[in-house]
Amino acid sequence: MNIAVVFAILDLVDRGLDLAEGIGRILRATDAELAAIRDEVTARLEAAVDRMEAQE
Amino acid sequence: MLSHRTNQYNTSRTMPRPAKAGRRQFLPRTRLSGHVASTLLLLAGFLILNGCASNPNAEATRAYLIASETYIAASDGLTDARAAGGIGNDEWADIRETARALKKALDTWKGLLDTGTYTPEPREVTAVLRDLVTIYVRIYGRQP
Repeated sequence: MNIAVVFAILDLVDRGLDLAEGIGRILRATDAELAAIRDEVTARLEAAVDRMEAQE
Repeated sequence: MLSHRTNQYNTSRTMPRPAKAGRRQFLPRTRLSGHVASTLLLLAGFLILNGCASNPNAEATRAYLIASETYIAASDGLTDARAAGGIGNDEWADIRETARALKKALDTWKGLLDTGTYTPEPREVTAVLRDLVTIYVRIYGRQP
């Protein structure tokens, strides 16, 4: 197997674990904690959009 | 000991998550990362389609946040894959158009949650998703 594919798979696993952690945190949060999480997710969402728009 | 661990758990679950975007500059030039990330974008679209018309309550907020997390993961993955040279110019233009449409749908959904409006068929979201499906067909129709 190409070494680049191995690195890509490791990167995808890392991203998958990040996503699972984020979803788990949302599911575990109480209703009161959701507002704080929402503000933080909104900020990261805007940052991700800016980063994508900046990429040529 | 137990209470300390409990406190640690309670603190960690509300702590902001560290930003990892842009840390993967070593990403090799392969199309695999781009394919998986664009599939994640498709998943985010389906999550929006599934949840945007639901009654605005705590569960709808959770659904919105999960769709947003999926969008962030897809967006970061696509940006890094493009930076590594794994996504071509035409495909990148289509993906960005798709991502913009999805972001618009997420913003509309957020607006519905903020106003507490229950709309079984939000026209704005439906229109955005109709465009989205057209773009998806164009992107995936190009794959060999």
